[in-house]
Amino acid sequence: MKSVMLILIALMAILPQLSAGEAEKFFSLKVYPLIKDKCFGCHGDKSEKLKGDFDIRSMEGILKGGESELPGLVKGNADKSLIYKSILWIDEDLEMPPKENDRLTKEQIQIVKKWIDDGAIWVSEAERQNYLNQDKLRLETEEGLIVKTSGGLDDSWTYRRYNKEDVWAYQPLKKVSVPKGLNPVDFFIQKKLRENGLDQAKKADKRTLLRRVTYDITGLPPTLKEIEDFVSDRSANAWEKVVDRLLGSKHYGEQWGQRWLDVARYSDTSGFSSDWEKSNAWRYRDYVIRSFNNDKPINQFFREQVAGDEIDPKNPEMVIATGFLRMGPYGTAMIAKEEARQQFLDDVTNSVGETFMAHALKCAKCHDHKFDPLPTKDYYSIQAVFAGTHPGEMPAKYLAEENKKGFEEGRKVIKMRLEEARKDVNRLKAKEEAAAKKWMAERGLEYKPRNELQDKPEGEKPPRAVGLSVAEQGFLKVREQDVRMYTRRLERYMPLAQSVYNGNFHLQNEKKLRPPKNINTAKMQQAPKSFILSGGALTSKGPEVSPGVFSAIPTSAKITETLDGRRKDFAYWLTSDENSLVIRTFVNRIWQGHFGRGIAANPNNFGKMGAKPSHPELLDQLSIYFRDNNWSAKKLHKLILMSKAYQMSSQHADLEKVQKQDPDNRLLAYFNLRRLTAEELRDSILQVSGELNKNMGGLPIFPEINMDVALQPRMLQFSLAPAYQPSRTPEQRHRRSIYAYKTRGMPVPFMSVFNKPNADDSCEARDSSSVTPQVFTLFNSDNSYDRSIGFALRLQKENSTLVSQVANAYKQAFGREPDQEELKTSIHHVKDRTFYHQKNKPVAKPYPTSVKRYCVEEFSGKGFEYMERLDIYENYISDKKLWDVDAKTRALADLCLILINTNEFIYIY
Amino acid sequence: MNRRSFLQGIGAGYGATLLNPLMASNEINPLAPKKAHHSAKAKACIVIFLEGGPSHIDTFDPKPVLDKLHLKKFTTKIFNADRKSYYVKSPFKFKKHGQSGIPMAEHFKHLGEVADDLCLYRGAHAESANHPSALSHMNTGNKFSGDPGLGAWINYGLGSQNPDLPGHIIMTDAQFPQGGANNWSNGYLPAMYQGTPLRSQGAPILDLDTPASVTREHQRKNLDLLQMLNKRNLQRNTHNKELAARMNNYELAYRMQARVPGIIDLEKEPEHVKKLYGIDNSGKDKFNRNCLMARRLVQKGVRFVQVYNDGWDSHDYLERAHKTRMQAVDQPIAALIKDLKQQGMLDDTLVFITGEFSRTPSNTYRGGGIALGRDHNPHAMSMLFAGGGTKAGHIIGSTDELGDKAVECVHPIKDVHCTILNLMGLDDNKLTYFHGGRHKQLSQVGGTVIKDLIA
Repeated sequence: MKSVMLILIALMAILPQLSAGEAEKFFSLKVYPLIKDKCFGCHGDKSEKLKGDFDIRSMEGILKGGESELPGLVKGNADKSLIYKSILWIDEDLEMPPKENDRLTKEQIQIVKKWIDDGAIWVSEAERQNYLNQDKLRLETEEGLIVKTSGGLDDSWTYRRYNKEDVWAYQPLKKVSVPKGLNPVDFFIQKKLRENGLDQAKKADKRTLLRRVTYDITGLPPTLKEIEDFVSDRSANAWEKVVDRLLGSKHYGEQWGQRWLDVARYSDTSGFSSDWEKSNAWRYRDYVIRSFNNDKPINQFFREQVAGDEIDPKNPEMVIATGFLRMGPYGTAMIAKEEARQQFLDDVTNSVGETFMAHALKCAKCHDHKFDPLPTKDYYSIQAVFAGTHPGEMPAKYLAEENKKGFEEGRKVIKMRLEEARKDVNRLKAKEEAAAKKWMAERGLEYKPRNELQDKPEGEKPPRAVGLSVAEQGFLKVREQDVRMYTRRLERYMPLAQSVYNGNFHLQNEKKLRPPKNINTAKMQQAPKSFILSGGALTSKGPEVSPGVFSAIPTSAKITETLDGRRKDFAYWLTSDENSLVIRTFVNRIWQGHFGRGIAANPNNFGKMGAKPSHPELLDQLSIYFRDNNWSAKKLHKLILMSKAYQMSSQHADLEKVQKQDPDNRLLAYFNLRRLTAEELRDSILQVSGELNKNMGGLPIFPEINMDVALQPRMLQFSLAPAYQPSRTPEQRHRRSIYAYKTRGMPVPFMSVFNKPNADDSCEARDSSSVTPQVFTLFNSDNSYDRSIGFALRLQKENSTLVSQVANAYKQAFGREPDQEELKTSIHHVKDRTFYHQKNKPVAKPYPTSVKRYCVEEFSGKGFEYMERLDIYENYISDKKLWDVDAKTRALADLCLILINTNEFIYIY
Repeated sequence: MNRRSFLQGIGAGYGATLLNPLMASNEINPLAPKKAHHSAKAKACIVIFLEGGPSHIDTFDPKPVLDKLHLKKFTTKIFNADRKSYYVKSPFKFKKHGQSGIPMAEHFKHLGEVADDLCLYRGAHAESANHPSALSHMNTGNKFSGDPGLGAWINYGLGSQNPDLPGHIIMTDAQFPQGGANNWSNGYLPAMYQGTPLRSQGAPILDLDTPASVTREHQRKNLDLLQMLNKRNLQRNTHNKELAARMNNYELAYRMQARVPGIIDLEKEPEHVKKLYGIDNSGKDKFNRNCLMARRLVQKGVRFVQVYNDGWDSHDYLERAHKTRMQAVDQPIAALIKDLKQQGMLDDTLVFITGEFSRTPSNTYRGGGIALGRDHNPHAMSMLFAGGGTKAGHIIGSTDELGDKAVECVHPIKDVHCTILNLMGLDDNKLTYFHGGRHKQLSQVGGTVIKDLIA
């Protein structure tokens, strides 16, 4: 409150009585744009729809007043003026603007007050323009910066001024020299801490450090041997050896690939009403993992994802890379084709903006950006880059490095399911046909198939679905949908990639995304035209735009106008060494991966409304280092990991002081602990239970998920979706989570409850909320019990005595020995629980081989039932269950269950 | 760690602060009851969602002119294509009920009895004619999935009245609606506002139950050892509040395991109440049971309950299908309103009955022949409101002569949303959440309260 008062007093002080010329300028530059922005929407733009009959576009209108018939203001006396009172929001019946979010700031209120108190000068349009023209010659004034762009819809937007700190992201990278021999990370972090009188936490102990960095780089805990090696390594470069080893691990690509896939919105299905499978999406997932593991220069990595097919069309890897453009939700059912096309373009445009440039471009779809120097023209110019781009399932030969295991078995299963569905469809169709024949014969009519009877009136052709009961009609619909679905799923085994191709047309049917046969005709190969859509509406085409770029970034760009090559030109602009915004965006994501929060804390929003960087100079030095090291992610990782800041303890000696001065620890006085992500948690449990299969890549796998959800009746466009069936063998199921199948329409409860984001929006940072359903999932579920038994069996296999089993359990789960009390209590618990289990024998619960389906059928409004076969369980290799093991094992499994539920296991310190 | 990311149980039980006193403060409990923006009657909301597109013409908005036009042909534009269509008359007879004379199709035998408690709204104008996007629009205010549902917003605005129960509960019919859990998503709001589907079989909440061989006493023993290890860990990491929060969640979960089954046990209801709802244990009374459950949950302090009823998508066999649907929902909905009234709860419980869109006065050819059904129509709907400060015994708004479009008191869906929030004491313009660079709200960009619907 005090600070607000101070600001008000300060404002009064800097706004003395103005001369006539100054008052006119003040009105033209400050008052009029404010009124226009805040009031014209209801009191000006459409004279037929003036709210309260009040017209604020002229002094006459203001003085005339509205319905209340009182003048809008009293010249020279703000306190007596309705306009002023209404913006203060002091009278509940007179609060303007009515939306909380649109309310004027204290500074803006002062502008209005000063204007009225000084006599409410109003000048003509021409004079106003004159003042504006004079003003825009000065790029930087005390009022802020003018940012050069391709231009907004009107001059007042084009020449508006920004606070310097709101447009930091578009400025060129600025080099600051760092004392020789100092890690720039430490130089800047410590400098800020010193300036704030804070000390850095001491170094974390070796076990904590190793666990932290191993999770950070691989998503898995360190092995006992790795811990032993590091703890006993007394050499000066022991840490560096660890960092190098981890950055060379193939699991690095899985962990950092997952972080990239969050941003790219990876999913194996398309969402919307049919949730069609993107059958080969895994090839893009593996491309991402490979790229990180090979330390592919990030500029090249970006270019390939935006324009791989244009850069090197013959190289399958490049076709696969453009899968990035296909990661969004996609559906065309029941949507006009132009609209469906526009949805795709909007999705791609925005996604490219968020991913590479930390700006949600969609904010400029309907108007020039409210806060950032992003004109709507840029939105449509960037969109024009993709105007000829179409989603397609494109041929791409398998690469030697791609994992093609499981193709045969998988194809056999899907073929079998498809055949069964076809059989049902054919049987019911035959039944209908027979009834139709009979119906015709009874009336002495010659039989003809239904499609030849289209134009006959009712009564001269058999009723539709003749011969089928309501339940049979419903079942037919289910099975017809199954046929479509399994036909699509057979594409899993074809050398296709989710990619794009160029052409000039609208229509894309979600069912089959292949280039049309006439794709090579001149008409299809014409350069597409693009227009600004006024207000974002397809129906109101504005001026034509050429393909272009985000014009606030001060780099030159030339994008071809031809159909082919637009994305390629754009991709090269995007990844130029001068593109400071793109470089900062990526470097900030890397930082976030290591420290849990970006230097700028909204990695998808570097605009005015995003969090400002806590250490802007550091972000620039890291960006320069990254750029000058050929955009190498691994080199940047190493620079950060070698810093003292990364190796700090998560504890602090003078915590009280830190929390008082920097409650969110933005200055990094200590290391932020973090909870394991959903994937890390599942993978870690499998790792400690000894069940994790570390094979990489290939067809998505299907872990067991909660059975209620697996069998949950999920409605698609026409009928129920088939049940979720897991992979058949433990070896197939227990692979890392990045390889698990992701269905947009059916999130896996374990994953989403631990904050795996839905794939509809780009995820800039994982949440780690702590909610009660996590307890149900981790402490009660079949999956947790299965893993605990796996863990217990592993301990029994590796150690013969209970004491050594318990000690090993702690070592596996926590990377340390139990202390005496923990050992004693745990041994007692296992013994005590063994007695319990001897008395409480679990009853076997077999897997179902079919499920009864119930569905309300629209033809009758009644329910009908059918059985769905769950073929996978007919020949299923189950994990060991509670009822498969003895009381001793169950008791040891209780301890294992407890350990994987502890905070020590689930947090990284 | 920031405040948002810690201490978020679905009904975090802050009353019991057995582990750490820092839990007690309301300042850090995002689920504590919050002050409404203005005083209002409704404290809870029940939404009955008739999924598939119930036809207003065949339920509450008769159009006799269609009798004359029946099967007369015309051409209509659907998705840029000229489609041959024909008018379809309603197969049902209508009767007017109550003082306001709300017309109801003949198969509503019970609903007429509560006509004077209902407010029929005919002015709503939706946008999408596609099930999942229309469902998403009606539930979240956005045609594209990913935004928070109405129930998430209401819980975000008002907090919880019962720390042992989720504040946002969903009961589906035979199948999950198209779009599934996106219809009750927390979207960008914190995870604790997500809708919890209450399951009618197995564990009512996913994994609420332990395996059968695990007794409560055994679970406690395991929990005790877990908490001992957690406490020792907390001593080593004193300033990390989320560690303590997580420990508390385990205790809350343990309590919920014991309490939830009792709360949702319908057997505790007297016979005459079960009879009122038509619960007959036939195995076909799921919707009846869900309606009674909705009342029980609201009574226990749940803010927002949504009950789905499937099968209203009558492109064909309208007479047969809509008849069955009306018969199925008639008694339970009427019973819910009567029951709420008898229990003195109708004044502070808002009941809202809607579909994702309605149906056209006409139909297109199907399988090469005439089909007596109707297409999707987002431009004219019949919605019912009851209780919670709505204008009982009124018909508001109207549709044109054919029932093709709303013509009087016409409002987009966002205005319906603003009205529901208003009835709950919330102001859509103030109920905002900063996400993706701007303050987001249920209406997306602001809407108008439909004052005609409010008493």
